[in-house]
Amino acid sequence: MNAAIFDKLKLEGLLSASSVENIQAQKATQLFSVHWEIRTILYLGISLLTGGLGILVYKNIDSLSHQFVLLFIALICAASFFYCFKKKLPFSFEKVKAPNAFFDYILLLGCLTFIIFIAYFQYQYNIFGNRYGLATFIPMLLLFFTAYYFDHLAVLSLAITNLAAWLGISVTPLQILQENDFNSNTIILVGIVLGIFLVTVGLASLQKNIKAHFEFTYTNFGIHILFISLLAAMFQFDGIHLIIFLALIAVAFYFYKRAIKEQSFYLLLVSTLYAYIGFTYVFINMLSYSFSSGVGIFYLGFIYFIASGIALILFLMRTNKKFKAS
Amino acid sequence: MIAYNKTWLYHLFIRSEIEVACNEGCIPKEEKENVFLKFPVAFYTPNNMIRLGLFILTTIILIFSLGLIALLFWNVVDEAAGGLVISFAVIVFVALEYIIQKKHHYKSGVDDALLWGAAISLFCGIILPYNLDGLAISLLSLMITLLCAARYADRLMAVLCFLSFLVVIFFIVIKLGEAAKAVLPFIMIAISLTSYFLVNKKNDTETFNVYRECLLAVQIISLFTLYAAGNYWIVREMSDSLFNLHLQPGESIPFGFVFWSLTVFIPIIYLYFGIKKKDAILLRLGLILVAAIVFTIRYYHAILSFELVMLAWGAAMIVISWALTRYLQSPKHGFTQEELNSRNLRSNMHLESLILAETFSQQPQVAEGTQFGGGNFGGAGASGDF
Repeated sequence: MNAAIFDKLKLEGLLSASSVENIQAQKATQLFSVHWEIRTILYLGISLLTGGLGILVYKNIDSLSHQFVLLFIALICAASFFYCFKKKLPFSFEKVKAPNAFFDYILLLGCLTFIIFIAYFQYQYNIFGNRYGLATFIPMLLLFFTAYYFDHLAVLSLAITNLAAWLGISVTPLQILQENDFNSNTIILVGIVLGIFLVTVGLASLQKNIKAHFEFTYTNFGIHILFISLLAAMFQFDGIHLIIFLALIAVAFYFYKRAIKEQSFYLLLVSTLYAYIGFTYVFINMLSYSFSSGVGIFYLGFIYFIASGIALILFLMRTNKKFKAS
Repeated sequence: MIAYNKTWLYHLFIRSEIEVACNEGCIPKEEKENVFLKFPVAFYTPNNMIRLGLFILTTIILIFSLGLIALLFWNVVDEAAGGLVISFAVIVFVALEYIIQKKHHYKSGVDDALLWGAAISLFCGIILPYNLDGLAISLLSLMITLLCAARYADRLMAVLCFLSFLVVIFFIVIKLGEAAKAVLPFIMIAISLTSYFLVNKKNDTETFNVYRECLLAVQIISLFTLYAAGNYWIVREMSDSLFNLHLQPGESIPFGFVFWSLTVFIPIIYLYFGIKKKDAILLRLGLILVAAIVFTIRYYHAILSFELVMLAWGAAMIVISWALTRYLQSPKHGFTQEELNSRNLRSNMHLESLILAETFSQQPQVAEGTQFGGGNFGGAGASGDF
């Protein structure tokens, strides 16, 4: 902090003598925090260790017995979870702090090794047979349980990703799955449903006050999945793309209202940009219908991008002002 | 020289100092509000999210404007491409000045996008039509970035300006002959060292200076170039191509031991002074460059296989961080492992969880060819990790 400035402000009568003394005392006893440095070293260490382990196993897979590898992974996983069960603070539906700096990372290690364990088992021994859905369903259950029980946001993100994978695999008929041909129409619909579901869960956790701080993670996944699926649906189902566009605008409007209510710049930006992509698609589509040839389409298209860009900038700036005012 | 209103920049500086003091509980809220009243700032600086949005949209506008100009002059675009792009750059610079002077934008996303759009198109407009050599290109880049950094106090411009300067020196030195080439690393080291200490002396945080963030950025990049110029791997590969040595694997360059010691000792010196002077820049750079030591040594001396090195370092780093946390449980020598200033904790936590999900998310791979397609589910794959 800056001594000269504070002295000057004191002379001008803007700061009281006690404030300046406070500042000086604070400056004298200021500690140097290496919190993030240590965290980064730890994170890199865990990444290197698990990565090295992975490569080691991969390279020696012929000489090692599978039982040994599985046992080893299971041991790490069990030890991590044992540690977490022992150290954890009592469960609550409110936010629970981690008991120490290592807890979060060890829990993450446990979850990751569990996923690797299941994957290895399935790959080597085919325990779930062709029921691939089950192979993703079990890790998903564990991840959701862990996220809520130990209060861990990163594990929650993993769990939601797994939920998406499980749904995607489950809805795809086995035969198509094996032929490596994905039925994208079903997946798009599932994406829309999943997006709505996640946003709803986010709202519910806020209202029922069940781990209310999970709301952002749910909403964040939900909003992106929902918008991307809607956009994909617009591109895929060409015949009814105007109807889907209306749905997209309705969703964007809903999030715009929420952004204003929650004063969230993030929600505002995301919903605006997705709506813009959708609108641009519809506009270009119309343009290419009405002008089949000629250079005029390029002129109109370019002018559209410039004009719409300026309009959106003005819109964002005005909404930003609205946020500040309230 | 600076385009932005200097008084407001000064007021902004005072406001940020007061804000920090208030957050640490030294100043009551009323006093802070009094100071803020006395030091008004009328810049238009929106929230970072809005800034990002405005940046993207302005970039879209710039690209399509350039496209529109190209369309309008379609029949002469082959001969006059350079002139067109330069005129476009001039228009964008005028727009930038207008936005700053009349609309008082400051770090709003619009001014960032306009500045980069103008600078890049000016650069491309000049180099595209001609067949310039490396020296001319780097001189041009030096001039453009210098002017932009001076007028708009942009950090990245300042960094590019310093790097262009080094490249200019590089091209001049290799033209001077064999002896000059041999001392090239030391010239680079000398320049970086001078720049670091010059900035260190001039850029004290006690007085207000419009360019203090630019100078800080230059300081950090000088420490990087200082290390890079002495790094054994860089020097060996560079001299291999400059002197046409055709080094075989295992062969060393003349005075190899000098560069080996520079490679190993510079990060350790950074760390030492970082700890001694409690200098966050030196400390963090030192930590990053320790990795550079490992990579350089590994490249020439493969004692252990790669995965064993990863394992060993991973384990060592976990132990080190654990030991440090235990050691600093209560603050020692003015260091603490506790996180200070928790005002941004909430947003940081969200960010951290997203980053973790991004790097770690991996679905159990069921069997070959049956992975779930359609990448619309957040973190895709951990393949880029290692």
